[in-house]
Amino acid sequence: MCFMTIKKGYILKEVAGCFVVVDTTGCLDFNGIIKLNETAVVLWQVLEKGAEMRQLTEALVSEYEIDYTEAEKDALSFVDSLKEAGVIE
Amino acid sequence: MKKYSVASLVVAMQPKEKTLSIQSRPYELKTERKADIIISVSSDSIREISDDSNEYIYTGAEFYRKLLDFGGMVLHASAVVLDGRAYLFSAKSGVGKSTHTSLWLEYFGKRAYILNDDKPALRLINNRFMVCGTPWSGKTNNSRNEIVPLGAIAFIKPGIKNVIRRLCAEEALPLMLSNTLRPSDKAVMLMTLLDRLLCCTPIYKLHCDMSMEAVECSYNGMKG
Repeated sequence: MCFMTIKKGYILKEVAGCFVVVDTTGCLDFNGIIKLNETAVVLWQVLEKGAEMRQLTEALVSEYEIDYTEAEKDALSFVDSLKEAGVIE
Repeated sequence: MKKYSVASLVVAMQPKEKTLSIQSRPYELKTERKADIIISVSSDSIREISDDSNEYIYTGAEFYRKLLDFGGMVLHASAVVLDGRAYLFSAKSGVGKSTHTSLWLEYFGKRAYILNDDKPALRLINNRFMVCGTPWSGKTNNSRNEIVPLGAIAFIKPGIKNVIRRLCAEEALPLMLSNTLRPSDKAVMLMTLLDRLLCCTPIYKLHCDMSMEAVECSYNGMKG
């Protein structure tokens, strides 16, 4: 499995208890924000440092004490949505 | 360049056209102090499209962009002051921000006045959010050079009934963002400021018509 990391310019911020990602890659104004739930924040923070699928899955297993297969499914679906949005490389 | 005092900052600029000249007059400042914000846009530099509204728009955009460096932001809103607190009504153009605040003036008479009718500055001063008049106040020249504590913010939706509801931070954040400037290179400063603002400011969604009952509804909901 390949090494993945968050592209430069996507910034995770906590705003009044909500976790949001701001896309600052454009040169003018930024538009939308992406809201992240608690699980997504865990995965995002691992991805910021760069990780493979295995590390993402293990992060969920240790955080939520769920079984490996379930964690892998969750991590994969989050990674897929980030890939689709063009947020990771 | 002339100097002005806006939102407790020294601002340097050189207005030439009518709207900015009129709206900036109450903010003129005689000072030797170095300017905090220098607005380099001038009607000369936008000569090919130069007219009154271009000077107004470009200088305003530059001021509010640089304001983020000083813990301040613009909100597209009409700001009305009542009993020493500023109440902000925000919405897209044409929804009725100014209509609603003019109803407040009618309802409260001398107790109320407009601080800025289109783009007040919100700035954290001594740990408190203040609403500041600025030389950019929209079509009406309706603004005062004053700095008033923020009372509450409401986002307006036209409605048949008058209803007001407090928003949670998650609901308020996208509305705040869609009614302010969002320069990518200052995104972190803006989000940090919004974090502070949303934690301590009551923010509402107001469905209202154009009656006096609408004023009673928003006032009772927002007076706290």
